[in-house]
Amino acid sequence: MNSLKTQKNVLLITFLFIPVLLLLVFVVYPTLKLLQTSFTSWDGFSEVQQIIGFKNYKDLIFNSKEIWVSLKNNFLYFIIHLGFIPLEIIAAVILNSKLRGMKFFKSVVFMPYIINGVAVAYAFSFFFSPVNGALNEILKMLSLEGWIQNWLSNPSVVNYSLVSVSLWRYSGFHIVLFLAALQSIPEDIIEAAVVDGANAFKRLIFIILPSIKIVVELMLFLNLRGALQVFDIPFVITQGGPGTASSTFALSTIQMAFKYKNFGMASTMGISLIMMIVVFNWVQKNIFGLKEGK
Amino acid sequence: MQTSFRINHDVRKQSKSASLKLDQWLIYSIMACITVIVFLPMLVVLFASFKTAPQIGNDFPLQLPSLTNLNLENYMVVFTKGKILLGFKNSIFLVVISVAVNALLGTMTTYCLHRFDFKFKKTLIALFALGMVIPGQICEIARFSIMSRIGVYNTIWAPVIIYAAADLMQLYIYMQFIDKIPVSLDESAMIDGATYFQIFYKIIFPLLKPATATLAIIKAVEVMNDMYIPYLYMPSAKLRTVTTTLMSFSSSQFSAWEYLSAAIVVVMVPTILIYIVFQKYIFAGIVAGAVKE
Amino acid sequence: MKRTKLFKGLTIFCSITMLISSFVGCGKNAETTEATPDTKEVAAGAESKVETEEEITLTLLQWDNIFTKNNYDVVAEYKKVKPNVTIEIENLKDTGEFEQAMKIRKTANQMPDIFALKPYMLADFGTIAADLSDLEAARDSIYAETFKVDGKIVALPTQAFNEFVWYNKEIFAEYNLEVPKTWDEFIKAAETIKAGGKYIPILMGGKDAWPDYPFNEFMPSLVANDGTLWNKMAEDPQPFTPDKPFYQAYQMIDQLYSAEVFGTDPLGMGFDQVKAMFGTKGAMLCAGQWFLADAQKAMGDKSDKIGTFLLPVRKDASEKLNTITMADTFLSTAQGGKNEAAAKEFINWFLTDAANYQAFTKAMNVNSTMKSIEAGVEPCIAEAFEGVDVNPVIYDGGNKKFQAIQAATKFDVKQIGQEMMSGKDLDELMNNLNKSWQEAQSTTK
Repeated sequence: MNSLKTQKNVLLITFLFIPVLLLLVFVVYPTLKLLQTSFTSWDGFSEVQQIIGFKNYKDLIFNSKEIWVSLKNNFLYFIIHLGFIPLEIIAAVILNSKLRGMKFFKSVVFMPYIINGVAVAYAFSFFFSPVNGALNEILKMLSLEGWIQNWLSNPSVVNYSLVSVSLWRYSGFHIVLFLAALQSIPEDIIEAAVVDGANAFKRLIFIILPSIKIVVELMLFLNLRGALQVFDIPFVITQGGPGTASSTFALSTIQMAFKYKNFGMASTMGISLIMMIVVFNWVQKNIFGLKEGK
Repeated sequence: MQTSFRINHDVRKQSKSASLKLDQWLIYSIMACITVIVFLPMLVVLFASFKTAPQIGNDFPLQLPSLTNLNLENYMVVFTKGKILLGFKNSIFLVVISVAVNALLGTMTTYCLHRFDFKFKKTLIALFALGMVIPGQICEIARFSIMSRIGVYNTIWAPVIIYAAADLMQLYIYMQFIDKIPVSLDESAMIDGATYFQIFYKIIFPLLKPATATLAIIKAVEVMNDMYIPYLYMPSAKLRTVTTTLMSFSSSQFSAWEYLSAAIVVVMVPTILIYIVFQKYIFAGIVAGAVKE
Repeated sequence: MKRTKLFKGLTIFCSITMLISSFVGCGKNAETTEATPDTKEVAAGAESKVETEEEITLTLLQWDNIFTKNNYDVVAEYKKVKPNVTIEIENLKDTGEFEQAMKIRKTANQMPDIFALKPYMLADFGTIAADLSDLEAARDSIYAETFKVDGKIVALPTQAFNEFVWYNKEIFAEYNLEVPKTWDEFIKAAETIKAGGKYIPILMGGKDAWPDYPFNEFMPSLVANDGTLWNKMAEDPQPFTPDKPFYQAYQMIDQLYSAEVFGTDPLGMGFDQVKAMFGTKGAMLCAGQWFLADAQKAMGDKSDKIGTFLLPVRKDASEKLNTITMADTFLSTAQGGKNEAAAKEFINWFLTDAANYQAFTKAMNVNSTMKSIEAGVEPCIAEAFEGVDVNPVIYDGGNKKFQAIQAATKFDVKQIGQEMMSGKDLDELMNNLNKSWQEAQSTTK
């Protein structure tokens, strides 16, 4: 028995040494550094970092209306992606069926995720373009001229355009994750349910969903994190413009750090972001009745 | 047994086929729509890669480039000036090493977390969760200082170290799979005299392969497409990757979309090919027989 | 069998572990050695001999491939003169990412040997750059004195250029248009083309924010006839009131923007998209001298129809025409860098070797910044100056104080330009700016 215990300890130490080291170096240390900087007025350049206590936090909460406005855009990403999760699960179930051609569609849905970010930005800039834009031309072809919009320059439309790019890019990835989970459900369970006469809907609710609960939970977390950290899509397509209409919290953070030379405040925003994700995730878990996974 | 079951199954399918028709028709038309939506923006890039700059500015983006007089100049520029082959060499090296190390670290961590109880388990999971929520770019200053201090700055190892680390998403997926591998399998191996290391090596790691395949593809795609890290950590021209090569065709004032789109296609085609070849592993699923007790 | 495999796995694992710990060990050594030269390694003059046999690699950090494009390659040029020195180019996409990388690398002590700077970056990075005063290139530079930082010459501009309105002569002929001499004539010309309904009068890639710089960034300095207007504004608690040049310039810009001569949706297209329409779908485009290559590409075989004129920022044709002269892309090297002497030698060579420097200015289509080296100017650019009484205004990116206030108030003229194009009220914008400016100005030293 004792030797088994030693064996276990040796295993844990050897197996976890590198992962723990990486965590300490790349997660714990930067977080502590971030926390430290959040109490200073560092500009990202000077040698000295002047400590100013909680001033950044106060300023962020009481004096930074525009930053909180940008959070509204994050919320839009969150809610629309959330609404898509059931559709993604259904799509995964369909793709998991043995219908003809599903293999092909599986490859297709995942395709956008493997495309380079620059390519996506470029393609969609042309897709939404007011002159020669594919989208507007298609609408004209379908005689839906009334639907034509200034997709990227109308402040009340631009965020929806960008969210749709985000859906285009990430939905397939989500579907594939759901698929991976579905495939880990032993087939005999489903077959047994079919034999017992459970229809497709019942199978979905009573067998499939509980079996992929852990991935659903992961997805809710990924969605929350993704929505609060949205950066690439607005950054490459509109740079947060026109004005700051399509800016997001992460975009404001980067601009705060590098454009407006306030690393202290940017760090404060970073810490706030971490706290927001933690708090919202807790709330979300409670709403959806999910408990801690193991 | 097996054959009789299959026959049964088929009979049932046939009897239902009439009612399924409408559903199937619906499913196929939705899938067709999705296919169109997926391919439209990609076609824009593909077509642009065969056009000249004025054509890109003035043509409808979904207009086919003239096939009789195909403009291949953009591709020539990408291969000669862009030295994209060097980019491929570096990217492939990066992908192979990072994905291999990442899969190893990921499965090892999963094994420890799922099969054993130990003191700081909860703390460890919390740290992995923290890794998911820290805002990347703003933490870059701290990370960069470490990289520079351990002397890997401007070497190919800097991105490898970053990519190799397993993240919470991977662990979640692995957990989902390892959960389906019965502990009794470990136990019977134990009785046969296997050590924990051997259990991992002989049982857990092989049985996690389907998950590894999915995660490896996802990781490979991420590494292949990542721009920021190679850009920041390996500025040397000898270490350019496909994405940083791509970036050299894109800039604020001087970018040339015709070259850029050709470069995008050149980068995209191998990724898609690899994806098509390996996709059966992504969607393979667990081989049921292996898990059966 | 089983056991040997296990051992193999373990040895691999151990060696990985050792590899990583040796990295960390290395790092510690590197850190201590790095710290020592910091104490004081006084660079003994730039022209001090660099041993000829010694192989040196100098890293050069740039953006936009500025030293390696249009068939000019600084690496090859320098190899011809100094076979033992290899210039290693590190390129970043644009100035924003360049600045970001420079800041991150500065914190980690990984500065490149040589780096390029925009005028506005001098206030920050100028303070860590080495003194270049004793270089021959500094003595011969036209602009070196103008851009001193803390009284020292720390960066030398490699290119000078002007800003133009690029236009297609054929379209102007089609509408019987003359080159406009005043602001009103300029707007009038654009409106005439707009009324024709065939072309976008002025192309503006407004989605990218930066392309409005000829107006929103430069016009206040032009109206004030003062390239250092930003520094004056830093001393003024309320620089946005109607009697001040900033307001006057923005009133003129507002007049242009409200004429809606940029097509139906100027904010919906990026510069990449509009530049390809130059001369075909669009009649005019406002940009610097650097636009020539793009204009030629867009016009194809009709390149001889490319015309330029200076943005007529004046009310009356009898006034002198103020026009921006940019001194740009400064070369610097970090103070106390380990290759400081070699880096200085490179900078000096780049600007004083006539053959090299002329090849560079020709490739980039820019003017010379050196007193004793002439750069040839393209005829289509020279014509903009014919018969015009020009007064060059040398643009200054703003001193430290201005940049501090700019950061505190998030003052971004290009973003204001976008807001003006989307129809925001000018007076409201200016009032808000005055308010936040006053507050920040009083607290900034």
